[in-house]
Amino acid sequence: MGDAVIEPKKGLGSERRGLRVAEVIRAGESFDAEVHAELADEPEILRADTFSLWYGESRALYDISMKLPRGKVTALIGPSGCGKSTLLRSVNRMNDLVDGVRVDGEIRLEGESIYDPRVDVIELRKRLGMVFQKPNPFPMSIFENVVYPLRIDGERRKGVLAQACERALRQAALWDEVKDRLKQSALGLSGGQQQRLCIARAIVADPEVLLLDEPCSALDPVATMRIEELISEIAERYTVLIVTHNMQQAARVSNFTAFMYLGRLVEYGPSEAIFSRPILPETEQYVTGRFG
Amino acid sequence: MAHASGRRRTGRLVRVGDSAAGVVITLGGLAVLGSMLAICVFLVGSAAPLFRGGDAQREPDVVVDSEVLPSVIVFDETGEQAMLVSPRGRATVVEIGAGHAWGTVSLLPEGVEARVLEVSASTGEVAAGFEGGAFVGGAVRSGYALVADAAGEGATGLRAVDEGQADRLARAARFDHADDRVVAMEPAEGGARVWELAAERGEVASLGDGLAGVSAIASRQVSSRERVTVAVLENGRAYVASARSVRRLDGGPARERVSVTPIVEDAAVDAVPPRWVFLVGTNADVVMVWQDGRFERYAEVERGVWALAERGRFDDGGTRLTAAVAALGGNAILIGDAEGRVTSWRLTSSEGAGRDAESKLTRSISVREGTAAVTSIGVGRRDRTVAVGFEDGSLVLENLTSGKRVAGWKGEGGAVVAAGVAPAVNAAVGVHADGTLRVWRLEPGHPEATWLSLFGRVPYEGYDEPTFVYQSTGSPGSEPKLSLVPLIWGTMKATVVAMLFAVPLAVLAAIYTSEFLHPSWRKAVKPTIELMASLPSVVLGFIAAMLVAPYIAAWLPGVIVSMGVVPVAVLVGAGVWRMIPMSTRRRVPTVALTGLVVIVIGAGVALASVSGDAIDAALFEGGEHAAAGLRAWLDSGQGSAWPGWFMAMILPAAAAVMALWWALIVTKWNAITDGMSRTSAGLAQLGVLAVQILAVLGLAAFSAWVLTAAGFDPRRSIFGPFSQRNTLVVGVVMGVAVIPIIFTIADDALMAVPKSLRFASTGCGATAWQTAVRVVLPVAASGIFSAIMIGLGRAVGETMIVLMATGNTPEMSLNIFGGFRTLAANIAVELPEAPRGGTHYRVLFLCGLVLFVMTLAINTTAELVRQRFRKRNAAL
Ligand SMILES: Nc1ncnc2c1ncn2[C@@H]1O[C@H](COP(=O)(O)OP(=O)(O)OP(=O)(O)O)[C@@H](O)[C@H]1O
Ligand SMILES: [Mg+2]
Repeated sequence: MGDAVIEPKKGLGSERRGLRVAEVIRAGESFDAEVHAELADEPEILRADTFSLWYGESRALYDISMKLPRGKVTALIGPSGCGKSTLLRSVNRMNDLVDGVRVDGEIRLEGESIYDPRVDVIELRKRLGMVFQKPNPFPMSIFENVVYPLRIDGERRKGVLAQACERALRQAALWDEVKDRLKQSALGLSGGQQQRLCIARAIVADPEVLLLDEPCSALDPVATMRIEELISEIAERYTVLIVTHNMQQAARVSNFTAFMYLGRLVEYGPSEAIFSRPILPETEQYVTGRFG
Repeated sequence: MAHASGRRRTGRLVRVGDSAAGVVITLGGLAVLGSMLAICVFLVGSAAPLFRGGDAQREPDVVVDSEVLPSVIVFDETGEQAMLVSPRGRATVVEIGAGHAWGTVSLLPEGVEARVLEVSASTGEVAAGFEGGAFVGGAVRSGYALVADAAGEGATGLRAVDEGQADRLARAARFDHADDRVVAMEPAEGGARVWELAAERGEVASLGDGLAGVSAIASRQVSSRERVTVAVLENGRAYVASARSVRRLDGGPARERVSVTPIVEDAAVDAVPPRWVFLVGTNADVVMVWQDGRFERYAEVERGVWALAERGRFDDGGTRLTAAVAALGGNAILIGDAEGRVTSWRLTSSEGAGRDAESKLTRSISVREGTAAVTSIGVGRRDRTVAVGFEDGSLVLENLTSGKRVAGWKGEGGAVVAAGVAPAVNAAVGVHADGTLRVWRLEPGHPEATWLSLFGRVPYEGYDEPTFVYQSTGSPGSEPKLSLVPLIWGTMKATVVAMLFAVPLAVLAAIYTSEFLHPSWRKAVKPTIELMASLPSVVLGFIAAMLVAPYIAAWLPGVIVSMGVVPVAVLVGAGVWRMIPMSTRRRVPTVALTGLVVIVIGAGVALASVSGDAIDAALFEGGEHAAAGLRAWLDSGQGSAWPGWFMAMILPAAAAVMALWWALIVTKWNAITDGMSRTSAGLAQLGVLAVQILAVLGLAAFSAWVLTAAGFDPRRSIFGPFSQRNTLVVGVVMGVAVIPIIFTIADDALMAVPKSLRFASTGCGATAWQTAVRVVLPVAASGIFSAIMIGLGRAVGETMIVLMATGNTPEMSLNIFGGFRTLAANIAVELPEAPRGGTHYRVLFLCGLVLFVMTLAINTTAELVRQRFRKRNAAL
């Protein structure tokens, strides 16, 4: 169902070369995103159908239709303010916390609409893991930070918690650094360690999709590299949706890349295609740093 | 402006403004600090003199006849003259500061010499015993008259005036008692000053065989009609003479009829007679005291029949008693011994006793431990200050109740054979063995105030045990009782009850508004609650006294029951709410939900007030009116303790059941309900609630039964006689007064928790409640703590509400239906009537200082915690 929307299509780009997208948007015309054909073969876990979002009067997302391939890393890129974080937060309905948010269209997780009134938001969020731009560990011990999602599920058995903690920390490549200080406050960790701790926290309860919102923007190059390695590793197990401003990073860690512009999905395809031979000139200009 | 250099520059005006602002801010800060310090210094300065001793200033010595050394010194009211009375009945009048005696006369008729004569300096009662066993009791009341037309010109020194002269003088001075007897006069400007003794002399009683003389004697007016005199003869026999005045039928002056009763008739021949005898206590028991420390107490068991009631010792054996006087209006005996100790003894009745049979002479205070033997004790008339003379010539003035030393000095001239202190403690004299009379003018300071009397248990007159009492302005006869402990207790009681009420409400409200309430609603709610803080406390006090107190009094059982019923109603409401499908629930707007909650609470209150009557009837055999049964139960102290325990135990029982539920059962239960549909899960939930309520009631009933069976009665602790303006009323209304403060600061603390933490928690799939409890609350805990502390500070200092909503009785009980008095209310009530600079006035300043220290400590703790909080949050 709805395949018509995400069917690879020849969009604007193939017909009229040149920087046209901005003009089309300004003119108020609608357009379809350039979606590369390779995506059609991928099994989907999450998809958006003409999804729009308003913050009060101002519209932040315009008819986003895209699917997220299962077990792959997908990067969201685009100039600042284009709605990447908004889209990410729409997936786990964190936007519900914002005053005056209104949505239209659908987002489906495994075929279930997540904006259905019958959906229990809490259960939805438990199936997704989220990591924020700024590391935000709780002011508790490292151990308690990691097992927090289990604790709120009512898990009290020490052994289960300890095992899950170790596994998550190992996956987040943090175990060796903190295994001797699990009882100490997480606020004593470095920024990079804190971010990996947040990743451990996000994956400890085995989410189906991991949402990462610029996880490396507050980190130095070395820490960034560790997180990138980490993302590549965990990508084998989880589906990852990552927002990033760093083109090299997107190219390195992601299988697919979506380029957003002014609240619209503009081009979406395999990363090497987006970064080496994009269909639209806007995409090319953006990824080469000449625009945005 | 174009700068040649192109560099940016700060303008001069900006710099000047900057430094001016700096100076102003610094000055302001210093002014605040300075005024705080000034208030502190002022309070300390006003209260500190309480703890200082008095000042003594030496006046010229007087030399008296060392052959007839006085044994008792009686001061006049003003402390200007003192009468020294010798054991033979000679009285010498001395003017303080004049340096000489007016002269000496006999208190007894010309030519009559007493064998023993006792004068009580505290009551002016005189008793004289003679050779041959005759004795007489009476009293002297001294006063002054400035006689204008007396022929004082030629009069020098003292002289006894004859009958006719006395008459003239007395008339001139408007004394018209026929038998007033002027014994001393001195010329003064425009006339003569006259020391006038209004002597009431009783009929002389004669007893025994006429062979033994009287060796010890005491006399006391026990009622307006009856005087009792006790005499011990040398041969050990003792007699009591009761002189009753009988009005004559023809309207003439009353006559005395004396009846003599023997107390001890069969004394052993060689027995040593007692050295002193006293009439002690309300029933005027006879206490005989021997020098070796023994005493015997005889009580009148029925009219005219005396029996030995008690035999004991005033010491631990081994020391000789060297001085003994009656004190505190005949209610106490002061005993001095050879080792320099002075102890005060009082007749106390042991608990639960009917009549004297259970009474005992007990030591109430050790006044002083000296180094030399006590040779004399002088007591004042009103004040509890005594003068103690020692063998080494030293004299010490000390307060009997507080044990505070007013003044003391050491003089040459041998032992102090007689010591005296003026009623207002403004003068003291000591007579040394060589006849020198040392005279001191005193500034007594504050003899009643010591650390012990202000903060400790004190053995006051009329109390069986040392107690904490605050009674600043007693009746003229009773001493001021200045313990601040009941006031501190009242302050804490009010605060604790108010906080028990306010803290849960305010903190939960803050959590609700910051974590659950829609932001647009919060914008309206917060200023509204903050507006509540601006409600003048006098208005709240008025509401408390006029509305809340009568309401609670009239609906007492319902009010108490509602404390249990309303939470249960809310829980039931929540259970029903859970049964409604999510999609329906989501459609209910917040306003409607709030309305629903209000309706549920209202239903709870209605149910409680309806069932209040029934419960009152069932538990307390209540009558036609709602509160009658419970009120009667509380006030009478009768009936079984069980119903009270039952009501008191419901809350602890509920806590226990809930703890048990959360600790042991809830996980299993959740596993069971997870598989159910919403409706059946909700129904099951309600069923569990019913079981829980039954368990709570059962547990409460059982524990109440156990406590009752064990003999405990709540009416001796948390319950007690009901007064309309009680602790519960203050708790509720003062709670309302502090809720806005706690709410505002707690809400700020919660809002200060970084949003990112909430997002992190929500992103993990936590509910709003889990986020609030597990993440937000721990981070905001210190802020909430400081909010509570600031509310506490406000409650501690709150004046108007407690002033208006309690009876202001400074009692110390746990009774939540009783009154109390707080430090702040005490100051407000009493400061207008406290004479400036007096002990009472300074005690009130001490109250202020204590209050200041309490609030300062609380606020400082709050501030310290908040500082820590800030530091910790900086890391987030
Ligand atoms: N809470 C909010 N309330 C109102 N408008 C918002 C809110 N959050 C985001 N917006 C607006 O929505 C648009 C998209 O914002 P969003 O944060 O999704 O951009 P972004 O692509 O993540 O940008 P960046 O790369 O800078 O993070 C922006 O115009 C922004 O101003
Ligand atoms: Mg963003």
